[in-house]
Amino acid sequence: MATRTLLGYRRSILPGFGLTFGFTVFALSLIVLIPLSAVFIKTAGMGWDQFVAVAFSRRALLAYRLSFGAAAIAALINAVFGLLVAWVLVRTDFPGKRIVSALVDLPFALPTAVAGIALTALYASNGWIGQYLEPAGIKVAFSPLGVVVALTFIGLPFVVRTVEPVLADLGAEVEEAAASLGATRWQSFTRVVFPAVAPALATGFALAFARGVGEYGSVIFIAGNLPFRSEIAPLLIVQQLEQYNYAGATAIAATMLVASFAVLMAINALQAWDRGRREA
Amino acid sequence: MTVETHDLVKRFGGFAALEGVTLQARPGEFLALLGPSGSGKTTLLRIMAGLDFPDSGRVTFDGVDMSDRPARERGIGFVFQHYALFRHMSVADNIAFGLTVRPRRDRPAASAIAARVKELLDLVQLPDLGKRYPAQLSGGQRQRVALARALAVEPRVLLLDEPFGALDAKVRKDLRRWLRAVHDASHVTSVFVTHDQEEALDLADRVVVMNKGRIEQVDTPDAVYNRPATAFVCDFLGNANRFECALRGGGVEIGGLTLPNAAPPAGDGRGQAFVRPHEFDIAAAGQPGIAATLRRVAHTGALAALECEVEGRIVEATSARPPEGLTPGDALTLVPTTVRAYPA
Repeated sequence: MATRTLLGYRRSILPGFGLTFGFTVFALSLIVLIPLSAVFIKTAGMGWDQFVAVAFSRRALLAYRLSFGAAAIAALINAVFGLLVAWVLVRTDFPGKRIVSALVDLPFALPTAVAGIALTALYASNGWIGQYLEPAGIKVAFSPLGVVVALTFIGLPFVVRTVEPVLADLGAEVEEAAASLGATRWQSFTRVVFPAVAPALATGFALAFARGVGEYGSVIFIAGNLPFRSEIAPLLIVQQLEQYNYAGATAIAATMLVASFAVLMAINALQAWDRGRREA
Repeated sequence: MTVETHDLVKRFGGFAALEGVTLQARPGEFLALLGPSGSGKTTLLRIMAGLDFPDSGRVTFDGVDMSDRPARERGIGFVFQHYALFRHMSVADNIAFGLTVRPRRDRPAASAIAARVKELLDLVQLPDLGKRYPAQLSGGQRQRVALARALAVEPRVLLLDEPFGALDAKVRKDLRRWLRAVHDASHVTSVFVTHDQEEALDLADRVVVMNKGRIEQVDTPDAVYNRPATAFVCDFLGNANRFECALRGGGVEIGGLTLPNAAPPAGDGRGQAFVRPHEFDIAAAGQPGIAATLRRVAHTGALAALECEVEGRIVEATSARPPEGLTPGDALTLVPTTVRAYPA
């Protein structure tokens, strides 16, 4: 029986709603909300004109474009190849599968600076890969392309690990059912597999994107950090801090926060709309 | 359509799933593949469908070799134990799937597809559920949708893998009667896998009894039940009790009695005899027959079920007229009325 208590929530077999919810609010406040609000409070200390001058300077705008643009491209690349990796890990069996699976998680564990240095060494004009790309006119290290490479490396596990369980849960049977009904492999993918994993894929994309926007360590080594060209927004923040311009740093941070939040909300809204559509 | 397999062999690692299976499903026939788990029946069905490929051997449809054709080119309908419905599609879209994936030149017009879906929804007795999603249906309803989806493409052969395995007993029974009716109306050659002997005997025109990757017997339900060809079939069907016996001159020597052998004739020597629970007469102790001790007696409606102990093993017997006043611990004699014996 659904009885109501003074607090207005339903009696439930799940224990400790009050305690767990209280802790959730407390922890979220302490760990997420208070530091974030500090960013806005600090920013509010500077005047509007000053804020616009720092946060919307041409240099800052180009840095936002690079940060968000490269993160989006990297997340998109990861969405495609991460889905493929997840499919291989779930559907096929091969010797060394556990090792491959562990490799996927490495970008999580590796200090990002190490990743940045390793990638730079590979893609620099005298590096293993860079020496062949450079003559072909493709410059990866010390260019925006390098930023995309670094963010792709960082973001891969997010897509693989969010899609993998959904794909496993979907089962091979639906793909077999599609084949028995005459669907080609492409039709089976586009009409059966993809729609089923799309929400998870969107979540993975969002996580990889968010991670990419905030990434600092690996990018600063490979990007070359040329102002107006290969400079990411988090680097601008660090530069402001080095000049003891804390308000300036928080101004850029606040702008990035609002933009990131808007993008993530949009992805969430898209997923909610999709869920609503299929459960209607 | 005639579906044939020729000497199929399939191994998974060291495990031999099929060891030379040759079988024919006749046009319009309803064929059951019956066997314990691990007997290879599902592997055989999946190879017919093209969802698995044999190590050697051939599959032919009406004499045409299908061995190298992928599932989508075989013109089959396949029904899975766990339905395998497309969760993100409505029931109607699920049923229409096989038609909408056809190349444009073979694809019916949208209106024709809609009409076909409606017709199938009526056939599976779910006329109002086209707009629902699979998650909103019961297990029995989902399996009906899965069947409608398989029938939508007008398959040349319908293959069903334990179609009622995930359903509860009542729904199971209703659905199997209904499936038989659908089959009788459509006359599409059908092969279904089951480990439930009652289901196989009730539903099929012929039953294929499988064991360890081989076919033990292919015959009508009546024949496999009453004239089991091998000891395995006899043991697997009908809860038979097993005894040691001697075979001599066409007769079976058991418990001091010599009885005619109801199984195919075998040579002389040691044998194993099978007696089904209802094939015993209960006599007083000391009479010729199998000496037994009563352990438990249960009166279940018309029949009494007697659980007896013979030389340390449990033997089950049922009797319509058990002697009155039987109590556990009593000695009695079991007199087999029908014995099937096979060389040991």
